[in-house]
Amino acid sequence: MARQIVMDVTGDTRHEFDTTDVEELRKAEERFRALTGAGFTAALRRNDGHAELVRNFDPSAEETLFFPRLQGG
Amino acid sequence: MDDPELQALCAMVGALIPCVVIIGLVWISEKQSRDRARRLLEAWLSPAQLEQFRTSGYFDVIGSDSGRIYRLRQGRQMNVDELDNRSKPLALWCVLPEGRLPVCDIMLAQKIALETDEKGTLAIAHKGSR
Repeated sequence: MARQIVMDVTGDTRHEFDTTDVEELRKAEERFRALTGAGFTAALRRNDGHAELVRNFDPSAEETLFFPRLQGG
Repeated sequence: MDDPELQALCAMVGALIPCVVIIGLVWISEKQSRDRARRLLEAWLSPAQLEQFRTSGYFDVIGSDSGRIYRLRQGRQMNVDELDNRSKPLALWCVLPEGRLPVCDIMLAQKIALETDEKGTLAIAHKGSR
């Protein structure tokens, strides 16, 4: 199972999906587009604590994190 | 229950109970949010950052463009120190995600942003002086 983690006021909300299920993949891609379209940044976790920003949905990604748009404080 | 003072006291206690319950539920909910955010942050830190965070309450990240070191302290704002080559604070930066997120979520967003797009992140950030 892969998962998309969306930061929010509760800490995060997680959406798990089966990467072999076409319908679940379609929903995950829709969610990716909706979130990034709303200003969220998407990042993949790589080895040893390194992250990679992604602008397109990666159906092979095991874990994608979304955080809200950054602003100066 | 003919005593008016006792009746007033009972009414006051009756009114306070829901408030206490609500405050308790909010506190529990916020603690769960903080705990969830901390687990997420710890899962995304490098082993060295995780050790530093657990022992010191902060961790260092390396800027993706300049190689400069930033120290992320626990806090919602003005919690990013740019360090000099002797690990002394050189400048203070403030950049955070929109919305009211738990502190550890904010720190994770700052870490990813500085490690992957330092220039873009600092272009948004406000700089303070030390």
